[in-house]
Amino acid sequence: MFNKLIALYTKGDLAQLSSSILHSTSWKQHDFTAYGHMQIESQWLKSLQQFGFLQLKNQQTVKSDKFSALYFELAADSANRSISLSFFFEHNQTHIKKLHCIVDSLLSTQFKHKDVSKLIKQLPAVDPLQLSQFDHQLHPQSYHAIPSDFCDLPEDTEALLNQWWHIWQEKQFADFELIYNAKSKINIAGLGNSNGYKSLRTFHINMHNRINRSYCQIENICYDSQQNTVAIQWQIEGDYLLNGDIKRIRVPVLSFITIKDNVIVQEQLQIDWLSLCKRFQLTYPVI
Amino acid sequence: MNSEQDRPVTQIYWQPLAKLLKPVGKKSQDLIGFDDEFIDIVDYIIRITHRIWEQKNIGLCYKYYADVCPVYTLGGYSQSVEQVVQNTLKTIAAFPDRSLIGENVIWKAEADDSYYSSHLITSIMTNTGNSEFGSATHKTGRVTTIADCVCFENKIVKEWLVRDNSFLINQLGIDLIDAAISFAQLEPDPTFKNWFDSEYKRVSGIKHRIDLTVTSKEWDTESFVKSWTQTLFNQKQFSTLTDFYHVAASHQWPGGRQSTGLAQISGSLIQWLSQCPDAKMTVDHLAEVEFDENTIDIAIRWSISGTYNPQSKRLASLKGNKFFVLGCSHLRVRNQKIIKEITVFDEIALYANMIRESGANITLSESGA
Repeated sequence: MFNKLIALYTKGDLAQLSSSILHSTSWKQHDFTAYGHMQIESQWLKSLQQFGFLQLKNQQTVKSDKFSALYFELAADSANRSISLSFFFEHNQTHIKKLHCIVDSLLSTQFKHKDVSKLIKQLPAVDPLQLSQFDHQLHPQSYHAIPSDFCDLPEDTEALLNQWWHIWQEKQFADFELIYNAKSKINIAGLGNSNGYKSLRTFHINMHNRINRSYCQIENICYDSQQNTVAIQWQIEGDYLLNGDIKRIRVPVLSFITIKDNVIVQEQLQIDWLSLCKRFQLTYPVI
Repeated sequence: MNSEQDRPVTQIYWQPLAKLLKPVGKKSQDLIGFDDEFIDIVDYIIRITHRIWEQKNIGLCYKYYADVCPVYTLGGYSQSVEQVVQNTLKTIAAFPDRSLIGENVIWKAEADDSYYSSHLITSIMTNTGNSEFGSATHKTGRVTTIADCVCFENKIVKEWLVRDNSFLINQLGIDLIDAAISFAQLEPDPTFKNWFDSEYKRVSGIKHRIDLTVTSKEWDTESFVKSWTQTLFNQKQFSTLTDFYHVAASHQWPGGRQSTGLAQISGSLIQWLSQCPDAKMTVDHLAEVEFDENTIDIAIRWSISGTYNPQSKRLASLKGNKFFVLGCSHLRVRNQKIIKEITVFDEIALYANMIRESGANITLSESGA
């Protein structure tokens, strides 16, 4: 399945991937959900028009029985700029049932030398979404999802991922230095690559200071025991402060983590910033 | 009812459409009185839906619907096959490219040799013709529908139909209250009012204070669903969500209310129920099928009645009106917890019924005027 996805974006091989699409397959990209062959194919063609036919530069896979995830970067031969796409999908080895693709849309504007506002206009109309206010507090008697609720994990990995989640859910910044390798490779959508966790920590503080009453929720996790890689599909929801006004927003996130010697050595944090701007009428930069 | 147990009843989740439309092999259910070509009730529902809607053989309604076939929706009532044909034609004319993607069929063999089917459908459709929501918008939208049917001897003899119309019109760029005002101008069949009033009275009269808890040791589907209804909807005890939902359950409610996990689901239910704080809910039908070894799918048809407490200023004049919803939910339950819920009802019809009943003169928005 990974090769089929890569072949679509590098060679325009629609036929291979089409054979894995059902009448009832859904493909969510830029916060718009396409259903069935016709809508999904139309989505692919728009991506090919947007990105062109590029070479695979870098990839990370997370393979498990029912859910798998893929992150890759594409670049033209001559260019040093790249674009990145990430996928989290439900499959049965033959067909994909449900797929969520997050494009680093901001990176793609840089790649294509396009204006942010023009690209936002070109994105598809997003799915309707009504957000309801809720109690975001972590009450002692209430239960909130943690990584080990989703799949069986080795003891060390489970402890590490629960600590990773504490950083986001409970804002436990002190855990950064415990679970990240000092030279870990970090990539944050729109912000690019860096070594060490400091960029991630700064991003986290900025994000939560811009979003009041924030709450993080895991949607799903897949774990690849062979490679010790993990993909986490999650969300940040809260009240976004904009010129004194409050807007309820939800930010879909995909995190790809590589673990070595029980610390995180690589992490990609994927957010489609421009779709977020389109959905909630925000202006970039969001944080 | 399953006479030849060597093959399970069709499950559509991972099936390619081509396979669903040309099933091979033995029947998995007797289907007494049904055409021999159908191997089970799921096959029957999938193929007749495809033939009528996607192949646009609308006249096949005469073959697959009984001459007298009550069809209940929150927006109206019809009872003859002629009305089914006319309504189908009107919808196809307004949305000519409508696709019907069968997501699930949950069924039950009833004691009277009929089958009950609950068909969850996703449709993609472009609004190129005038519809009950107003003039053509030429926009494409997606909508979730659940059609609950009683099938007997190759015909549908009764149907309850719910569609997430508020989600659809949002994509078409139509305001929800404008659509309800427009819809309220349509005069429903006189039988509808009788049905509506009797249903409202029936649901309002239930006893909602009795505790119906379910323990993991004594867990069964019916007790679970009754407890879910009584504890959450009738008694509004939201701290018990953890007894019913997985910590990352996916929860889809009409109009784009999409939640994941207990906190978001709690918010979604509290905010929705606040417009009818005295809501009472009844379970009107229940069906259950196995999804996989540890997972079951449950289809519930339900009703809610109470008194309207408007959250929208434009609808303030409707305060105190009869609030009544006909809804259907599909629950996927693993290890006694809901991991996925899709609930469908027609919010446009809900508000339209109150506007019509009250005679309130509500003005259209700037975009709808």
